Amino acid sequence: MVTIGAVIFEPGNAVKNKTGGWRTFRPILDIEKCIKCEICYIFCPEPAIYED
Amino acid sequence: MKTIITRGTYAAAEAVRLADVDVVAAYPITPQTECVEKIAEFIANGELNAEYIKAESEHSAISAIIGSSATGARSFTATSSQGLALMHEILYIASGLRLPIVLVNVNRALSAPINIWCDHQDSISERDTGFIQLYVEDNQEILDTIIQAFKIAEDKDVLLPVMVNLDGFILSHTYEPVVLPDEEDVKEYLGVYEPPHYSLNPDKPVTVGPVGVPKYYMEIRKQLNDAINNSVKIIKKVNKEYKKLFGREYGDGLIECYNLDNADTVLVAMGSVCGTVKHVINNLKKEGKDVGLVKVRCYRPFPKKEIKKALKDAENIAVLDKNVCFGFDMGSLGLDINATIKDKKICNYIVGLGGRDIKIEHIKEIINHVEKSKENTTKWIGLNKY
Ligand code: SF4
Repeated sequence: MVTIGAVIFEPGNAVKNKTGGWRTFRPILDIEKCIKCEICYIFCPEPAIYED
Repeated sequence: MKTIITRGTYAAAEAVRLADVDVVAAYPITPQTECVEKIAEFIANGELNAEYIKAESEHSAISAIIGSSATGARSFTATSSQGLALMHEILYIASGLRLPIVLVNVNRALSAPINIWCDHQDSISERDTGFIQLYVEDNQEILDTIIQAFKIAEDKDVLLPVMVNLDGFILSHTYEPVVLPDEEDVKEYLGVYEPPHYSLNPDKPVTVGPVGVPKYYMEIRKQLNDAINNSVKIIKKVNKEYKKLFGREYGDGLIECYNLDNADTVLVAMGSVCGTVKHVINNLKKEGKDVGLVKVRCYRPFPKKEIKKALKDAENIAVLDKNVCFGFDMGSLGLDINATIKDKKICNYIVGLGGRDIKIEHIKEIINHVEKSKENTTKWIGLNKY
């Protein structure tokens, strides 16, 4: 599973790595209610939130 | 094959030339400096075709050869004392990335007080970095061990950096006859390094040094621990092969047993002091007394099984240390022997710190002390009133 020296041979395979194991709540975005206050932008990981 | 009279630092440089190293990065420090000076001379004279990087510190030197080794270049650096200490954080990266770098450390005491002379505190302080650590006894062993170090490091079942330790001044600045193997023979023996695990290549990009999240980190560290443990086999194999090809061997590659038959008292030591111990043993033998020596050549991985076997008949075990584990009142080898051998009398002797001479009378004092001693103790030898 782990390669010698932990080298990654496949470019961009980070998407396969399930992150967020530390999270206790899962926010659900409701575009209708969004007032573009950008609080979520500050709290969410890069690049989870796009302005449009 | 020819024999030259040379000093330890030059014997190391000759080994690097014979190993046809591709990249050398270093920063000068006494007593190592002459080693890389000589290598620079070889390159300037066209005797070695290599890239020489004049780094601005040891931290940069080891960093540079991590880069070069990751591209698949055979890479070398040398240092001493504070220089090795400055490399500290990067040493873990060299082993973690599984790069077969060879590092020569010319053993020198650590500051303060500043001291340029020999002891093993510098390399012992890097004990847990994941480097294979070898300690040599004389100038011939310097040359042979550095050549072997590349063979061991680059083995597909090892892929680890190797630190070859030689005693500052006692070996580095002392002239001894050294047999140089033929360049062609060494070339054939080592071959061209072709990384079996990965290499940096713009046509085939890979990610080196990614974050190891908690989900993966432990397995990666276990893999490193397995690799250094398994290297025991390869170190033994290389020692045997080398004997066949070049005519010299050093015990089983891990330890060297000297006069163990009939010896109730056995000394355990590393580095150049083993020469003095052997001299004392030879003289005592003439007087009808048998004392033995176990020379620990490979300190990491620690050859527990071999040492246990070598010391099975010993009654009085005296472990010599040129380092101190402050706050434990023992040296590092003393601690390891105590952890390896149970139910035997083991005394630990702190000797030769900061270049303090270890004389014949000191070795005799150690033999007398361990034989008379009723329990395990630690004693500093050659200590003046303070
Ligand atoms: S910007 Fe983010 S936090 Fe603010 S209202 Fe919109 S979705 Fe909610």
